[in-house]
Amino acid sequence: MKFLKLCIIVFTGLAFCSSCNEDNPLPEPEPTEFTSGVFIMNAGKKDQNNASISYYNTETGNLTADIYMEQNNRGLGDKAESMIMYGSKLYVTVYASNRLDIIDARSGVSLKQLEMESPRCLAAAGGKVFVTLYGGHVCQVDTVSMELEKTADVGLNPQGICVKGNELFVAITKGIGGERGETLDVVDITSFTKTREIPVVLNPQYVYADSEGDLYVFSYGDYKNIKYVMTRIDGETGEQTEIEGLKAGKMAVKGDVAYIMCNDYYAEGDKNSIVVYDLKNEVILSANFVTDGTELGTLNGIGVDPVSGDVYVSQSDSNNNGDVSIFSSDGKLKSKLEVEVYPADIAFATGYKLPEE
Amino acid sequence: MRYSFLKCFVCIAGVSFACKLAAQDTTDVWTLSEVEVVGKNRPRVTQSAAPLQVLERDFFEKLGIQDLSEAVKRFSGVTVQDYGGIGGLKTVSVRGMGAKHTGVSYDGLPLSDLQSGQIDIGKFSLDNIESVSLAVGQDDDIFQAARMFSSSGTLKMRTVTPQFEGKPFNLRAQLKGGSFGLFNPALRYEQQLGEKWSASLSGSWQRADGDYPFTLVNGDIVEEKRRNNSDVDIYQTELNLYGDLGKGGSLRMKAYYYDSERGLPGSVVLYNDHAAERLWNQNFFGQVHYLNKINEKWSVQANGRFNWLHTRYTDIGEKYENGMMENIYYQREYYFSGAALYQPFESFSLSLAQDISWGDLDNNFEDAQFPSRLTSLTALSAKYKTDRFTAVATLLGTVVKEKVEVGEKAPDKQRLSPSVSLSYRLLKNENLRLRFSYKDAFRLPTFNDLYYDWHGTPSLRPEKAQQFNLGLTWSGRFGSVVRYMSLTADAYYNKVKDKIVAYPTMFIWKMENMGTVDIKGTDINLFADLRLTDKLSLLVSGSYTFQKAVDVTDESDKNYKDQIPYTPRHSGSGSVSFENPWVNITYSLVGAGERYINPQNTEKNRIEPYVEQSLSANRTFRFGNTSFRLQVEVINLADKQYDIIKYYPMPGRSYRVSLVFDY
Repeated sequence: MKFLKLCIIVFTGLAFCSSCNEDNPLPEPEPTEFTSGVFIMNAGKKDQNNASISYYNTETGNLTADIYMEQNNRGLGDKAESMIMYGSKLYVTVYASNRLDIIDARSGVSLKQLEMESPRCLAAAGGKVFVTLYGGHVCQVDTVSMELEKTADVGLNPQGICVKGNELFVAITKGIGGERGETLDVVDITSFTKTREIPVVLNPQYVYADSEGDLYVFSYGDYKNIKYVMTRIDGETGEQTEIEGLKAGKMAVKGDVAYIMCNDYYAEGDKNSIVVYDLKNEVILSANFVTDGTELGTLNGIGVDPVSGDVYVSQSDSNNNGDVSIFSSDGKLKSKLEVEVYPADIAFATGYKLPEE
Repeated sequence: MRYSFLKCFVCIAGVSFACKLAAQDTTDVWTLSEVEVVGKNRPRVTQSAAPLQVLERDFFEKLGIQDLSEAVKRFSGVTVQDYGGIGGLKTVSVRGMGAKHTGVSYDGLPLSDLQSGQIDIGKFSLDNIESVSLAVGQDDDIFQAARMFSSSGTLKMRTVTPQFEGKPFNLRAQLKGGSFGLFNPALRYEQQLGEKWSASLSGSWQRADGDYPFTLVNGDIVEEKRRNNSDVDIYQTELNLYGDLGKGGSLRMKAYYYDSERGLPGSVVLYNDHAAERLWNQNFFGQVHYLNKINEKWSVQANGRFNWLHTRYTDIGEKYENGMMENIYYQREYYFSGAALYQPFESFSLSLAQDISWGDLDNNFEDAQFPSRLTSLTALSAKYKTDRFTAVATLLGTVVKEKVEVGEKAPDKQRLSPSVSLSYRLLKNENLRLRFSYKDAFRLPTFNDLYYDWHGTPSLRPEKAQQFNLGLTWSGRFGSVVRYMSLTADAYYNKVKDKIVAYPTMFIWKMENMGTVDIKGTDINLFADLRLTDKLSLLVSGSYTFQKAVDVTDESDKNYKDQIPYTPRHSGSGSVSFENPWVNITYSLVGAGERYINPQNTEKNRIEPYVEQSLSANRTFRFGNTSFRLQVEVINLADKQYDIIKYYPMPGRSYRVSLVFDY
């Protein structure tokens, strides 16, 4: 309940500011942006119906282990796959439950559970949310009506998705289907049809676009002979460059700086690291973001606070409750939270508040 | 540690050797077929130096037990993982060591599954079974195939041996039916073939819809649902040939075939009722057992078996190529075993058993490695047994050669594993015995552990299990009412090291040797046969298990010293059978305390305790040579909703009726 109240203040604050700016030409005190809370999606374990969302209040430091259950009196479902925050809503794909759950980020209340077969990853732009479906589709959901509007066919077992201009780039994985999984499929948003395929290294899982239109593709290979590779596709020439030495899992971006979680299974000692990468100048800023010697463990997710620049990483062995470690932007551990099983995605709720009198 | 055991063993053995001359042993040092004389079995349980539990046909029939898993649930010290319903996978873990440490044997020869390393004990109907026993550690029988020395615990099934009285054939026809579409006819025919030979042929068909109702609780939402895609269709047939060649020994040959198709209802998934997985299993095996007691001092046996397993699994869904996933596996195994027993004195015997087996796995995976394994097992055992003292020691040597057609192969392995067990009758005139046993055993990584798709790790080491047991047993009678009573109480300590577990990396799961489990527990078993009047008698049995099985892999783990998943601290079973000339009635219960579904013992991972009660009634009618038995069972009398495996609900109240006609 405390959570509910605080969020209302935050988002109301935002609404108030935008309206008063229009009506009143007199200079007002500058509102400051702040992060009110952090949502952590716990994927849970397959067949255990224990997917959940933890909520961390950055102001009070309170952690709610399962805000979804608390606000909805029912479980999120079986095996959550990914989560994004867009506008005032959270979108969560629950893979085994065949649901896209749309949640009011101000309250944690589920607004709608849209039925779709095997939903995976999410991207958003222009008031629409795009979802990859493991059966070989991408669909478009309107954020206001919360209805499924369009579906496009892409390759089998699509995973990561990103928006660049008027196009969607979809990573077609090796998945469970078998032989395929060596392309990025491109979907034109207006016509909502697949227009072309970009060949990439085997088994691309995640794809990200930077501010200059370059694409970053994380290919996982075949786990045997073809190892994982991170590739940059130049936004103008389409030229592909391998970024050497990075065995990248997922990444989070603030401005033009990317925080990339890496895992080298074959390495000695701590196999996990966070690499800081300058997307604009295309150079590695730091091969090891952590500066205080904190051991990372197995990383499952990464997020960066859009206001403070704190880096959140989630760690889990998939059996026990996972942790979220919060690092300051200079790589020092600030705190560690025990969340639920397999925390995998992190989303930040931000708002504006007026300086206190 | 091991040194001191050996010392202790040698010392006690020496002392007992000296006493031996005075003592008279009335039982054989070894028993050819454990169940030939039914009456011997009950004392055997308390005489055994390693914990042994036996359920015989007359008793499990009274309880209304249908398959092996239901029988095993009555034993102490075991945890049956049951995914619910007739078609649901059922495996058994003995004293917290895990299902892959449990051996299962059928008429003296151990079954194997190189791919998964565990046997689905729900697959075996008890129609033709004479007795089921469970030995923890090494049982006292030293004259058996070497593989029978290799498991931490061994479940043995013995089929019925034909007995002919007054006519050269026997016929049994049986019909079972029950809730959720259960229909199960079975036939067995036995024929005497001259003086030396006899044969039996049996067959059964079992089908069920298995669509039982259950209650799903999701926060505040309570839904009444039904299992779907849970049908089973099983054919089973077995041909046995028995030969008694007098001085030439005895021969027992068997051909077995099992063919099944089933739907897999899967776990109950919130907001999604879709279930379309199907599984086909075919299993053929042919086995020969030859035994010859050459003279007073020497006996030999030889065994051979060919085993063939075919598994086909399908699932449908858009996410698969062409809308369907199909996995096909073939396993073959050739197995040979020879053993010799030398008994220079009545009280002392030595045996040597040598097994050679070769098995392989084929599947239709894109990256299939086509592994095969050649295994040699050599067991050298010694046994000393008098009226008051029993000592058994075995040393098992294992040599494994691994091979793959494609990719990286697992390293070859060699290991020596000792076991020792002792039993001593404390008082001369009381059947009160103190027993101690130690066994060092291991399980090899399965083909799934080593090679499965991207997840297998060829470099895995075997998973080791050490067991110590200390117990007291007593059997006896009081006056005319308590005809027979036995009580056994054992305390045990086990340690499992190098446990093979799936460990996640950022990208995929990998199998690794990284667990250590510490298990301390107590098993208590009670059995009493009470004769109330000439015609009224009462059979009472009970078992209780306390088990503290905790993960001690790493102090920094969140589940450090937490109880391992699906292993109750407290569990037990009990039954009372009232025998009378009208209708025999048996009431029984099985229960377990709280358990955890994951290694970390959090409230969210906890599952509720349960007690399942059953009631069974039967009456036999006789007309000359013919007898007719009618049995009615109510299972889960109180309609208790419970899960053994979370989100695989167990059936509520159900009914079974069976008619057995014997001629």
